[in-house]
Amino acid sequence: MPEDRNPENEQVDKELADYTDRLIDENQVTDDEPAGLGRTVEQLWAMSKDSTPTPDTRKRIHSAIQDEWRQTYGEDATRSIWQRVVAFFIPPENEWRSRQKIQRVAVTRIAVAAVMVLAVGLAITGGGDSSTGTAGNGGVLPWIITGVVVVAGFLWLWITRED
Amino acid sequence: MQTRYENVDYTKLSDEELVKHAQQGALDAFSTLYERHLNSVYKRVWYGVPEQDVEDVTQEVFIAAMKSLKSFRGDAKFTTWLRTLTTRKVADYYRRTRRKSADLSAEMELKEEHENLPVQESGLSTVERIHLQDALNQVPEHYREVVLLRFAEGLSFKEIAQVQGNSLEATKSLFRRAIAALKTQVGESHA
Repeated sequence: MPEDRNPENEQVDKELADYTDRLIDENQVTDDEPAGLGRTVEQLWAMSKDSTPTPDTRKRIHSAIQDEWRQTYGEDATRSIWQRVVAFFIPPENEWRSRQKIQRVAVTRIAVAAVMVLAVGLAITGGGDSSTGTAGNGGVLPWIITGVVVVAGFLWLWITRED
Repeated sequence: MQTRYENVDYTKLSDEELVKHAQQGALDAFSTLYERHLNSVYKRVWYGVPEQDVEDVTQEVFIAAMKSLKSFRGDAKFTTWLRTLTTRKVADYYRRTRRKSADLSAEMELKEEHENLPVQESGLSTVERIHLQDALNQVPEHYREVVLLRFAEGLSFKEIAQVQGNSLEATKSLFRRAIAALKTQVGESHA
């Protein structure tokens, strides 16, 4: 592309030449913009700094991909049932999910599942009788409570799954 | 086909190996590709479409990649293939919304009327971003590409030269011309 040869353009060209040479020499990618290059280059770098996806964005897009994958290809054929169960409670490690976060998520999810199991147990025993050590008969109330706990627990586990 | 109980550390595989696993039905392999390339795709899209649509278009890129994965034969590098797909999706976005890049100026005028414009972490205002995006959409494709490789993907000039199959000197020269054209365009946009 032919360039206009006027002193101002030549100055810009020289600054850009120095700039690119400096970047190559120092193998720099970001930051430390030389002064006098003009706002455009500074803005291009600024845009680059702003354009990082948030953890929520990463998670949302990943979930959408997983849903679409299951609709298109079905469940991951290479994963065993056992691996899927484990992943349901303990999400796999990745770039935006640290080991600490996984531990936190896993403990919470397993605790919720344990509460669900406990609720079923309590409903079956009818609440129990601690003074005699025999199973009590709480009537319909324990089952209602269990139903609410199990449904709410399952919904929460399903909605928040990250497998 | 991989056995069901085979335990593969996908993070250690190359893109092309991951594609092979994903083609065989391994969702985790595709997830690894997603994690590896999300930043560069997101950044590319960020330079191309309005902020509120960046996430949607990025998602479309990965879903399109997932659906056309079977047709990837490995003739080109996966990154090149994904880059092309991203460019196509950004173009689709403008076709679909029947929006020309010039409309970004209209959007900017609208935004200028409002007070309390959001300013990004870097200090770049929404108006400045739209000006720049508008200019970027109006420079020739090969100029835009070299700018995106440099700023959106953060490649060194040596890497850009390799990607484009050019010499280092030719790449530097192209970059200088692209920046000069962009500066002119920004100047015109502000006029």
